[in-house]
Amino acid sequence: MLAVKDLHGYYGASHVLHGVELDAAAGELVALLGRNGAGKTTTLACLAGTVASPRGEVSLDGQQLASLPSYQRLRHGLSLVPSGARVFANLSVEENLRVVRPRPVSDGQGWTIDRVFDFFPTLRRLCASAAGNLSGGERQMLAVGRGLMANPKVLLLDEPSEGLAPVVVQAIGGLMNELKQTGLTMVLAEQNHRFALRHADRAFLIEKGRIQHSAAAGDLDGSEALQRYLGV
Amino acid sequence: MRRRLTASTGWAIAALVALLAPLLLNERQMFVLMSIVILAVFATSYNVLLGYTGMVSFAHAAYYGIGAYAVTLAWVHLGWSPLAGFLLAPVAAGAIGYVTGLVALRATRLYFSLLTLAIGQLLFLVAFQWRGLTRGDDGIFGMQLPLLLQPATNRYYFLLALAAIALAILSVAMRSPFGATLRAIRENRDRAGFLGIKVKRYELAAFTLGTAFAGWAGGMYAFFDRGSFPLLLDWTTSADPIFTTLIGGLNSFAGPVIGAVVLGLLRDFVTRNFLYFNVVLGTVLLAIILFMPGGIVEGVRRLAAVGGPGRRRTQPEQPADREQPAAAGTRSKS
Repeated sequence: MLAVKDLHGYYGASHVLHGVELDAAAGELVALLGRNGAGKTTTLACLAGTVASPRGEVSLDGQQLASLPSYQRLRHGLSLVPSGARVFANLSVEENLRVVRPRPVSDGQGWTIDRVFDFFPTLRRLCASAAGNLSGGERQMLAVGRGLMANPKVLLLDEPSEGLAPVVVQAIGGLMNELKQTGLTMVLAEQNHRFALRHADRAFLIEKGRIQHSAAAGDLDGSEALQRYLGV
Repeated sequence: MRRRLTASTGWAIAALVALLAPLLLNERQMFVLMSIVILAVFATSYNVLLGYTGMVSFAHAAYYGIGAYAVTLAWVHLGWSPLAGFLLAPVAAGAIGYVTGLVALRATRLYFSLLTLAIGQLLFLVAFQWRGLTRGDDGIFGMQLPLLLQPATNRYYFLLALAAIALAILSVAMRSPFGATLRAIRENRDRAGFLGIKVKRYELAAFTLGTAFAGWAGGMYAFFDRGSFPLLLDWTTSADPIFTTLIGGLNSFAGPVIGAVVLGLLRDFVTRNFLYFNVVLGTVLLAIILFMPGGIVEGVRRLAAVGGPGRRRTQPEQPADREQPAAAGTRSKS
């Protein structure tokens, strides 16, 4: 479904990604694991189109997206939930969901504000509050809800567990399981490999801007590769 | 909820004061009031760019001047009544705003601002030097107003009604999903992009809307002054809405209106008693930027929060320390 080949990423002149290759089948949850600075966020940013990647191939259901600007990638089904749950602090919860210009889908198939609120009942209660006043967990839910409002084929999650209390992390994990039930494909970038491996089908290990190893999630736990690339 | 209530109470009181003011004021004071009403529309139209979308334009006065000239030129060259000419003001300013916006928005941030400076001065020079059309530096004066609008009180009510219409339209637009999208862009252009928003198109729409209502305010000015002159288009005039917005507060719809009242009254009071208004203005601006960076609105809100019960409020937020684009923010932790 999603296939990434030879992806190179740059911040200005500094070359950060050196030919990342990864793929995800429909309905699969793949994890992208690596240390701080290994290139996880950059990979997702290059996929979403917010960081320049002049070289590389990103194809989604056979469509080439690498040359498109970010707002068009979203319309083809790639939606990013940024790290640190960066929501629009000055907009209300509802406005945060409403500003998304979604991928067009047939009636009744897409995500609506109501459906997001059914999924996150807490958000319904906070509907009119400014997003800047939410707790970290609430903000993360809002960020995921906003990502879903795009009607993505592939949801890119950048460290959804970052900075959250263990209970909240667990809730986010439960949420990803539920989303998986709906058939959504997800790419999860994480430092917290225990959390990621609990939910992922497969995992890619990234180091120095290259994918060094990939394996089924079940085979990785306690493996030598994990030790080598994550230092755990 | 409570904030919406206090806001509507505030608007109701403002409307009442504005409606009853002519009963107490002399003619000179009526003219001060008219200039305040015009400045309120001018500054609010600018806040669509500055406060809502995060664009700093130095050309805004040019569209204000175009609005004023639309009325006076239609009167001089076409023999239109100023009332008919007024309809032309926002259309002409918006149309020229759209075309020049297309050019200016080829750049972003600082370079956008510099392009607007160039475009604004270009438009100023047209008004200044095309004597055949605009009578150049002499300006156009002594425009005949309809009889009904000649008494100061009537003219005041007419301008007040025009201001109310403009503010109502802008307020609806800024509260709509369109307004929310603009605020999303201001907060973070890149993030707005990966939510499927075509940022440039929205910026152009905001620019056009803002310039059209700058033209509206300019058209009002033509009634106030019964004329127009090139300095209206000059970039120094663009400072007026900037100062007004900074004083009132750029994070709320009411900010520029409150700023217009404060600046208008201050200017009247100071210029009657003291020679150097700009010295006073500079001091006031310095004090506000240093001690009340969100302007009067934010200052009052903060006071209310200290005095009132602890409620969840929006964070005070200034464009200066706004979050950097996503790329810069995420680079530190890949």
